[in-house]
Amino acid sequence: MDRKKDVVRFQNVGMRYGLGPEVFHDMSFGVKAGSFRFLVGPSGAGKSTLLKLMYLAHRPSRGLIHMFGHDTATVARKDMPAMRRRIGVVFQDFRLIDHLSALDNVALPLRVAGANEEQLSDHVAELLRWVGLENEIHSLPSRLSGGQQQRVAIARAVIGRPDLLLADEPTGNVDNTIAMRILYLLEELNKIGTTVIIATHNEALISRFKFPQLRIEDGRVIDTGAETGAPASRTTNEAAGRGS
Amino acid sequence: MKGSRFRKLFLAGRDLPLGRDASSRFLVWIIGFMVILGSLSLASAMLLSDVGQGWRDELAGKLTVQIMPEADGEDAATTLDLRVRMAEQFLVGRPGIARVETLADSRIAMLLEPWLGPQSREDALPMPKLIDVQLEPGSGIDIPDLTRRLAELIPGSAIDDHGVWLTRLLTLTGAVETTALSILGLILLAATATVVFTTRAGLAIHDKEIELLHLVGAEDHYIAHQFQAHALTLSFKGGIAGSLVAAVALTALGFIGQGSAIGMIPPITLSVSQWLVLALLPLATSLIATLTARLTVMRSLARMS
Ligand SMILES: Nc1ncnc2c1ncn2[C@@H]1O[C@H](COP(=O)(O)OP(=O)(O)OP(=O)(O)O)[C@@H](O)[C@H]1O
Ligand SMILES: [Mg+2]
Repeated sequence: MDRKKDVVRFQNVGMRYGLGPEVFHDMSFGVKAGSFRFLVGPSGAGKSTLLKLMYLAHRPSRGLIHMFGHDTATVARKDMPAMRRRIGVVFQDFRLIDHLSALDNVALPLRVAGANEEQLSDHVAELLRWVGLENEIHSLPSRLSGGQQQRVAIARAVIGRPDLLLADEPTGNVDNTIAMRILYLLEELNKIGTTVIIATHNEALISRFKFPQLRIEDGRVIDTGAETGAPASRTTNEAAGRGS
Repeated sequence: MKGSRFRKLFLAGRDLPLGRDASSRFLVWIIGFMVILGSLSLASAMLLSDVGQGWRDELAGKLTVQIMPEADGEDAATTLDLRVRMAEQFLVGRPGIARVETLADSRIAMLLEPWLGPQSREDALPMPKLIDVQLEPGSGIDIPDLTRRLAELIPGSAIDDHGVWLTRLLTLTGAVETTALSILGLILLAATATVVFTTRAGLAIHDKEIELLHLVGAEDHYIAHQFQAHALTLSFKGGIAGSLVAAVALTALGFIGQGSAIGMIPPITLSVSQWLVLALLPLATSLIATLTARLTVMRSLARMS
């Protein structure tokens, strides 16, 4: 019955790119609905790869991945879009569309879902104000700084109120003040039910927010929040976050 | 409300910057040229069909009786006239025959002039007499029988029902017409292939954006919609331009044709319904281009991942 509540569940997952070496072997872990995890590990450990498996951009070489209780290997192609709409992603390289304004980039997940245009633009503008981009609503990505682009990418990931938010180094290009703000935003999102997984190197953030960690070591995952089985809130997880 | 519907219909899916691809301009020109060629082929097919029909209408139910002059003699002319009158008597009033008219010598001379040159009356070659016979519509008259009986009565007479001549001409125009329509078919096929290739090129150029659209939950038809809207715009532009050029060319040909009075070739003028058929060509081309783009995208995306 626990498994039913897992938003993400990996069972003996192995992953390699083409004929390259295995990035992971035999990786098993679960992430419960409503939890908040930092995904940590040295550069090249496979954080981005793990997220790619979760947002269905790659298939594992072996093993089973369940997302929202569905075996991803058996999800029909036509059901993929619906599943992907439940996942918001902040890509490490942002992946903004160059010729679309900040507003249109952020609106993309709503548009592909067929959202109503009038409601959409107010909603998007409001979110852009929230991430401090009220003056850049109509700017193209090429006119924005790295940090501003990153905030556009974050806004795009959260605009659809996803059930699961995956963020790959979402604070890599911003100063600490903005990094904190972004984390607070994601924490708010988590409080209203979104499961959040953030891959990051940012020690300051990790020690400040003290969420439990998914730690990649030698192609395996160690979940520092798993032993206690505690919920996501950082106050209750303070000890666990520091542990192991 | 209005704004959003407008966006949905005409602007929806400008997420992919398809208009910036070099292939865009190229497709407009290609479709334009193809619609010009296609319109001209289609117009020739329709005109040829008219010509064939015209000949059929004109010659159907017509016979020409030919009375050859006998060997020279003092009274050759009189004998010939006599035989013509006998033939007229034989023909007039026969069931199935509507009208009998002997052509005047001057008319025959005029008909033969292109082959024989102007002749003075004195040294004129003995010329045959021609009798135009108009049959009643659907008379079902037995022409070989009529020919035989007339020949028994008047040696040196012959009946030409233009059948052989007409059949050959109609075979010829029919073949040319089929060729013109095949060319039109090939042109449409080539247009389709062009759309397939430019669409595939577009998919390859924008694979990053397409991957992103998929990752944020876009369905294949959302992406296909962008390509098909783009193909529609381009092919419509090209098609309309090509159609206008073709229309100008056909109108000009019509004027030139009017000036020169060539007997056998009917004027190059199209009826209203034929112009309408021509006007459908760019629309049909746009439709084909749109569907082709959609199918190409849907298939390619289904094959991916
Ligand atoms: N597209 C790819 N093709 C081949 N190998 C890849 C590809 N992407 C990643 N790898 C390899 O997989 C391993 C894990 O890479 P990954 O990007 O997941 O690491 P990471 O933990 O995100 O690193 P970083 O902290 O630097 O972002 C690395 O050894 C990398 O070389
Ligand atoms: Mg990475």
